[in-house]
Amino acid sequence: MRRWAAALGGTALVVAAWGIALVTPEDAEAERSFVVPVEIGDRGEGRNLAVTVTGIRAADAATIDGWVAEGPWLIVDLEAAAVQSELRAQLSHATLSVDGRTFRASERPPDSLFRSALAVGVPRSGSIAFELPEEVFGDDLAVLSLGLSADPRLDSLIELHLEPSSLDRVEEAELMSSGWAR
Amino acid sequence: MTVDAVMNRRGWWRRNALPLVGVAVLLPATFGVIAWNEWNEYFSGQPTQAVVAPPGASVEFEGAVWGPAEIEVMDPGAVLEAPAGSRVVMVAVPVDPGTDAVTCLPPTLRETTGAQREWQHATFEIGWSPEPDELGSCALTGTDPFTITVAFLVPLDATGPLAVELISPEALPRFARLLVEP
Repeated sequence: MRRWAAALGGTALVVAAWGIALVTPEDAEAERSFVVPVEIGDRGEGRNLAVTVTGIRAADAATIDGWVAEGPWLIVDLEAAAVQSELRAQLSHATLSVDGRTFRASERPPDSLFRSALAVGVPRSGSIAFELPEEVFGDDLAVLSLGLSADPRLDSLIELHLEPSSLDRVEEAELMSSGWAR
Repeated sequence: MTVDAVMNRRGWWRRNALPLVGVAVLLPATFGVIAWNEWNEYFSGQPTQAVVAPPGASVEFEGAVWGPAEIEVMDPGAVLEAPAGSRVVMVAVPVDPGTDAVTCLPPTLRETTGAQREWQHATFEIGWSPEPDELGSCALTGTDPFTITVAFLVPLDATGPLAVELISPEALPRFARLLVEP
């Protein structure tokens, strides 16, 4: 084999190896969640979770049934149902990601849809509340992510993009009490 | 390529015909056996083998006689708290344990066609208070005959025929499936 042919072949192999290294998915890709993007008012359906976000509010204090807590709070009103089975069908994953930080829904409100059980085909309505640092309300992008398992890998996630800085902040907001949506 | 070389190559395939056939058989067989083993182990812990009773009939399972299952579809809005778009389905399963006590989980209701959705009992969600003799499962029931009575909350679009499924943890992967006709 001529010398230039060997050099060309070698270079081609190195370039091919580099290309393969570039396009190889990361290990995490193999267990990535299946994201279902939604807008406010749209129904998003995943493997075993169907969600309609009906409203997003910002408030200095959150209340429900006589319970009051200073925040600030971001309150998400929603309807949620299971799709296939009621086994392990709780809204256990509810996070808000802002600027590289991820906040989990608060366990403080005595009544919230966070971690509540869902029924197949019969939606429940209610609120989930996020207790957030003040600066989050100045951000332009936050991602709300809802799922059934606290470990969201390889399952559907309903995701909504919102703009915290555009929300009208009220002094006090009441969470919806959880119940049947209709 | 000379004629000799071609003959030699043919000769190699012919000489090694038996081992080659061996590889062709054993390689897929290895994968088949491993897959069968793994799936079998998984399925043996899941309710995968139904012991089916046709509508109106009883079935022998785990030494006890189950059924015939009775189903009553309540009118929407009647008595119990069924939200719009859903109805309450009451299910009663008589059980004759025979000589030994039986164990079972609370029954589930399943669509046998279409999406095959599955419901857990909704006794508490719909505000129904069972009588003391209306048992929710067969925990601590002894050897006297008894009746399991549970209520399900099912959306109006649920397509029949429906089946009541009873799982006895010791009997897995076998379970009882009693078909019911509303």
